[in-house]
Amino acid sequence: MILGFFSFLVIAGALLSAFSSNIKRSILSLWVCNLGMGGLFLGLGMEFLAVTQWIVGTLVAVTFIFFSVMFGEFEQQQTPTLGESRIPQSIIEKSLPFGLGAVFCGIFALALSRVNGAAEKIDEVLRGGAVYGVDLTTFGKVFVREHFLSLQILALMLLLVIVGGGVIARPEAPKSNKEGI
Amino acid sequence: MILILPGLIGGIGLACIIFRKTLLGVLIGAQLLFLGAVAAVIFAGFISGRQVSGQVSGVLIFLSGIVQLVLGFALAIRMFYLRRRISMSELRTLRQ
Repeated sequence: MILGFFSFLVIAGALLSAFSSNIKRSILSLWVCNLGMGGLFLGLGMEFLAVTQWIVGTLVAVTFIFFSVMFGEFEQQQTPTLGESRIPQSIIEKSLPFGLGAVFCGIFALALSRVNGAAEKIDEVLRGGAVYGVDLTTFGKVFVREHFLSLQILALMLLLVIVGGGVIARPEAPKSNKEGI
Repeated sequence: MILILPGLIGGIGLACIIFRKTLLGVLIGAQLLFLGAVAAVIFAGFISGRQVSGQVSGVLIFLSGIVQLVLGFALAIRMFYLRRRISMSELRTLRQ
């Protein structure tokens, strides 16, 4: 049931994010979508991925807010879209705080349920039984042993992006006055 | 059944990329697309019993999405420097 709840949040957040004509609501809905996806990961026993998803999702939303303020889109009530938004704005405004509250309540409830059953699960893992989640040690070992090439390619790609991003986003040099002094 | 969810998210992201006229809106759609891809790989690993491989692949795709986002922001800054706008129709004028 709780997975269904988070699935609903993810879909609702994605829909609002994609089709809202206001960039503020789009960014907040994207954040809710990321939080809901992290809740889904937590419900399936992937704590590391859940926390990573929450952290990165929040950082992405904050970055989007910074850039939309810089480009002047944040103050606009309506951002350009190919078609008009058919979702009444009052519904979006009223439902977004509830959506955020529901996400946090769901995450809290899920965390509580997992803490309550944590002792039994740990015992089962120590006996060599079913693995409910993947611990960080196993994750790191598999990452390095089986996906080392992918890791190196990703690292190289990140380096190229840092350099290329700096080149692309360079400020324009001021044009010199050719008419002389 | 659980794989329908990533498909839906990816489809919504694709629709957002087509629907939006500004670069920031397209980047939001691209983020949704990457989120769907990450979820698909992770859920497929969960269903097939290969959780670790699925999670590792999901993290790799996740980080690739971050890379794409950084490049998108760099391009948006460049467009803003040149045209003072980040409309998608202005992209084709960058070659001038």
